[in-house]
Amino acid sequence: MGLRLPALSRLVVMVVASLVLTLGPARSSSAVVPPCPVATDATIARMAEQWAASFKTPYCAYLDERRNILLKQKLVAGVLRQTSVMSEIFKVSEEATDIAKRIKKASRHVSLKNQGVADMAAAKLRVLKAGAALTTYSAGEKAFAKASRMDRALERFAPTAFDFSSRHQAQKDAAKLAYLRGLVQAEELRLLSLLKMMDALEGER
Amino acid sequence: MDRIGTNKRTLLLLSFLVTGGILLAAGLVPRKGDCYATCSPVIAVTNYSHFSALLKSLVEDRLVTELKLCLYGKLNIAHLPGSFRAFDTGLWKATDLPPLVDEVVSGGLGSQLAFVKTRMSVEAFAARLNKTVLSALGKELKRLGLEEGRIRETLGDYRREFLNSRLALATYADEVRDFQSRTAEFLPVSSRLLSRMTALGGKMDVADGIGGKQGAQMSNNTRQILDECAAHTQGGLKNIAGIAEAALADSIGRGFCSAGGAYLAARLAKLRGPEGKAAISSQDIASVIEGVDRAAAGTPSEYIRSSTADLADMAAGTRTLLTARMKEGIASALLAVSSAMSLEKEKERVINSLYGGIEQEVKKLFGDAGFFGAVARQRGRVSLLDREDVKRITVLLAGRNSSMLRRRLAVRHYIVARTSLEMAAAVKSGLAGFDPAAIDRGYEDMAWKDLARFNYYLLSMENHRLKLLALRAMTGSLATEDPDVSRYAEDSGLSEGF
Repeated sequence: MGLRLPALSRLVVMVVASLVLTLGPARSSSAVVPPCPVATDATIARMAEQWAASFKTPYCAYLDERRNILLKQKLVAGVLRQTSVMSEIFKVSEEATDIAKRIKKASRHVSLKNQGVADMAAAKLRVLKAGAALTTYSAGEKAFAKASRMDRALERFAPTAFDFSSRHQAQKDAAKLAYLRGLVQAEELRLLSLLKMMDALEGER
Repeated sequence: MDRIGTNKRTLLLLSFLVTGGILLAAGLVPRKGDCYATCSPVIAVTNYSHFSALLKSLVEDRLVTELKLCLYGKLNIAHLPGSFRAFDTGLWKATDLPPLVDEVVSGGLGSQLAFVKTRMSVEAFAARLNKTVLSALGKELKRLGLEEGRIRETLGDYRREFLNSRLALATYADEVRDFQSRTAEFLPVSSRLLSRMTALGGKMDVADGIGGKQGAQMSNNTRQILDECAAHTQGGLKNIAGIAEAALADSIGRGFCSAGGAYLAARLAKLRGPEGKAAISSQDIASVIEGVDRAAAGTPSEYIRSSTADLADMAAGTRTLLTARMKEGIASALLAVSSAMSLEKEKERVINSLYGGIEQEVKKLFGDAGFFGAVARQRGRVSLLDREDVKRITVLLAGRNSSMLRRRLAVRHYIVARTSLEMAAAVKSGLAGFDPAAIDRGYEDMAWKDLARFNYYLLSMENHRLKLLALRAMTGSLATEDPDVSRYAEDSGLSEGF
């Protein structure tokens, strides 16, 4: 090489000194650069959690409020308001004490002394027939009065009202009407049964 | 140089080259300050908390709007009339509130969109910004004691060379357009929600009115829904304003102010003071630029707030008009439904009064043997189903040779049977015009209305059947000719309904 050692060592010292002086501050300023505030996976997850938590309260509050409104809608009464009055009409007791007394009185007219079996049976059937006719007449009379009252109650309502109500109201009204139909049909069945009983007794005469 | 020697010179040159290389390498290494320039501009403009709050509000609004529309759909279907009376177009039209709502809402939306198009355009913002900065510059120059002529000249140059230049406009045009387009996109969504929800409120009010629930508070549901929609519109406009304010303030602060500052610095440096005074100092120039920048920086928020406030005022006007129109609409719908209900019962009433009248007339003739004889002697057959013959039939029944009770019962029996016949015919003709497949085509909710209606008809018919059956039971019992029954019937007389 031809270079003397002191000169070479001076060069090495200079290079090392330059490196230390230059790269030292440069490392401190650039090598440890804090990360950009760009969202990393971890920060996105954290932010998502925070957002989800913050949505929870207002969104759930709104849903709660809406649910309450919907529930309130479901609690609205139907448009057919006369149902209580109508059902009261049919709740009146059918037992007529005066009819029972009359049937008892009719049975006293029948004499069962010194007669044969056929006569006794015929007499008993006559009493039964009279009782059935009395009961049927009374039941018919009462049922007619009830049906007339029902007619008057129905007169005050027009089914067009269902079309402009909510579905929940219509459902309630449909159920109430089905109940009332049940009451009316029970009354009908009672009358039909009485008539059929009477027919059966008539057939025996 | 000769004293140094060749080796030493080579060594010195080498050491210079190495040091230079090291310095160059160190200079290329990125430093701390350079890092943020490459980061997201959104993050740079705003900050996490602001960004987060804005995004949260936007998403919340979006979700709640969707939720509202979903609920609207569900509730609206629940308030649709049944299929059975759908052909009754007169009533349908009288109670159809959506066209009324749409008319008012679309009018309001039209005004809002016209406002957005003209008053929220880039040109409108530029005019406002230019006016503000020119006024601020004028004041600053006046403060420096410049002559009026020079001030005018400077302001004219500033307007022509900078404010009206493409360069200045480009610094904020995109942000202003974004604000304009976001608002223009939001308003139809908000109006659609308002329109649908208000129509639903109207339907609910009509339903409450028919149920006799509301009384004086006829449009209670509509009022509540309008309040909710107003809050939604305000929230949406506030969100858009929040986004626009951050973006526009940033573009004005960065682009407009730096470009304007550079222009003003160069332009003002050329200015000479009044006679005998020195040129404007650098500090004065800096102070003028600062004053102009301050004025410019305040413009976005003022512009956005005033635009948003104007739009909110217009929405409030639409709401007031809508409230008044809905009140009228609900009242007329209720009237129409009430008339339809009355008409529906009218047919029944006519039949009842017709036969009731005949019965009353015949009751008066119970003791009139002459009239009975006249009817009995009339030639020609009496028709069972002819309406004209109802009276003759009842007279014949009333004149029979039996007790008063039996005759009255016979007349009543016939009249009830006759009324039931008419009723059956009416129900049958009503049902015959209906295709039950229409129920399949409608919503389940509509079927419930039809079911309720059919149940009503069934109840009504069963009640008539009960009446007939009751009368049959009474006459059947009397027909047994049992003395106890006859005695009982005569003693108790005819009760209610005769």
